[in-house]
Amino acid sequence: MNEIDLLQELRAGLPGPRAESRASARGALIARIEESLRPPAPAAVPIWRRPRLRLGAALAALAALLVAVPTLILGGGGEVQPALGQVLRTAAAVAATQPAEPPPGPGQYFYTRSREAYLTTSFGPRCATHPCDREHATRAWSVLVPRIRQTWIAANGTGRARAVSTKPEFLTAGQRKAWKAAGSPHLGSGGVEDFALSGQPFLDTSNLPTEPRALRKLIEARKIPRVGGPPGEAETFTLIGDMLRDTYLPPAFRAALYRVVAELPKVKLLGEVKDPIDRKGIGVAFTKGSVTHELIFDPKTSALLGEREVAARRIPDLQVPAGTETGSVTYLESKVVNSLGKGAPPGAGHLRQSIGCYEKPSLHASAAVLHGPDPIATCTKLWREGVMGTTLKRLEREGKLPKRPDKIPNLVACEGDYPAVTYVFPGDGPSVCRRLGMRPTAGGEG
Amino acid sequence: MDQTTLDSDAVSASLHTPAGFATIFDRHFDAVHAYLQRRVGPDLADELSAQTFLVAFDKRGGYDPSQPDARPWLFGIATNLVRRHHRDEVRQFRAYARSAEDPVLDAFDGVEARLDASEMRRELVDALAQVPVEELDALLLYAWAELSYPEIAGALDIPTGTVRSRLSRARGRIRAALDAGQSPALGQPIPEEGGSR
Repeated sequence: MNEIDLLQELRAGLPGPRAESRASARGALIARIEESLRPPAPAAVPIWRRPRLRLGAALAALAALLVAVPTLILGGGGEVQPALGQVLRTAAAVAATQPAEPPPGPGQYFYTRSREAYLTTSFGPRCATHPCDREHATRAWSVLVPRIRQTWIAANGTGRARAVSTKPEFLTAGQRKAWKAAGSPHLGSGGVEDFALSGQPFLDTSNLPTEPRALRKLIEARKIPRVGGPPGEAETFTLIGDMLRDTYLPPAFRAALYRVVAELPKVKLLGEVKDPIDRKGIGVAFTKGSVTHELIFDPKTSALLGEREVAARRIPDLQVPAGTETGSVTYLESKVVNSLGKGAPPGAGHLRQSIGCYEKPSLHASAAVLHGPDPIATCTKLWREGVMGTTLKRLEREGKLPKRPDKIPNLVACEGDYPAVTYVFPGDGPSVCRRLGMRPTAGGEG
Repeated sequence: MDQTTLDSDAVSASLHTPAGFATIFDRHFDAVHAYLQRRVGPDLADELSAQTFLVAFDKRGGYDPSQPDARPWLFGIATNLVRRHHRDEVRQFRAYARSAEDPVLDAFDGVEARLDASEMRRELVDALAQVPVEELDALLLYAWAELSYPEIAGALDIPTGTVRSRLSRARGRIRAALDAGQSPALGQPIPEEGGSR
């Protein structure tokens, strides 16, 4: 017997990992994976413009899982409050008198700085390894991770986005304990994200009406390029917030947006409120389900100061009491600058073609986003490798990767609202693009 | 589990579809845990093996796609993590050598805490406590993780020649310690290579 044999006998035959240890480790990995998936696919509105409604999404997902759709609590019937109309018409009048800002010229960027904090809810390891039903969802924790976000955007939509996250804030000490008990999985804090933006230009308002009724019709029909989303009045309110958030807007268009808000049913006037950094402003709100979305604007300039999401009632599944601030954005600064700032990532300021390979002919399907010269060939490779056709949920339910698809579907490449993105869907012809409100690319069928 | 894909393909695919990385976990978690558990006991192994896969996921962009098997890469990450606990590891070896009770085995409920009266084994763990950490890593990757020389080289990011010399030195030290204890069973020469398995 030599020393290696002796060594191999030492501590040999120990039991394998405990099931709960394995589950906890897997849960931590899945949480990290989910976190990495958070930046939206290219079909979604760019993240620098629309860091919104994560709680709403989490709730929708939960509702689907629990098959217990939350009752919609919509306040106020269909009437517009007279005071609201007056306040917003005043805001519109102020907006119309604001000087038009010149667009960034060649080599210039529109710079913005904002602070955002969104509540992220995670579930303990049991939910990572079992279906997230009522029993398994109980050990959850919610944490606010504040981030300072800066963006530099050129007229052609190229630029840079940088976000620095700071110390996470747990809602309660108990939730902090649940997180610790789950092995302190990564919370997405303390990191710096710095990436190049490509092909995400400002809202082009040159062809849009400034007459409120016509504008409202376009918004409600989701006909404004890159300002799209699911149907519903709450989403309309959110989309207007998205547009107002864009500080680079002609004054007449800003004024029209305020007039549209004034006419929307179910919008509530909050009166004078403070934004998340204690600046005074006028608040308006829209409540859908468990979440109230507030917009706070400066009555003197009509500029949007901040936004806030508040739990309208207790949300037991997320362990969030009524009145909890579940998200906020504060707009701190905006100006035209002549450079991308220090330490810009490589490629920032240059157009780069992205390809979105979608699993299904829908912009809401899961997608892999990558770069490459030939969209169809790139996505075909993913399908051949068995990368497409997998979803996190299925993987989780079965505890394995699904088998490779027997057959690679026909693929169609489409052009949409973002010039730097080619969308590739499974489907049999250019009609797929048209059905999704897009155009087939030249030679885009595979 | 879909074993038809190579680990390298699964890691590459996970760059586009991160969820696919779960398959790497499913394939290798138990092996990584077993190795760590043997080094530092079950409790710390739980923590370090979970960390191993988080680090691996974050660093998957740097995976060498020419390596079909992810084990050396994962064991390398695990070894780096366990190195921070080298002092605990040494303390456990010493306690074992002194008391003939292995703290790692003691940590298991239901595993009989055997008193190991074998003098030779106590000398072995005493010797292990004195092996420098770089040599110990190479030695235990060879003996416990069952990696080949080239795989250890990949795991520790060192040339194969260095693996050879570290292993040779570590084995020499252990042999010398055991010889000093005059255990008659040990008289075989150190194999020259032992290279790939």
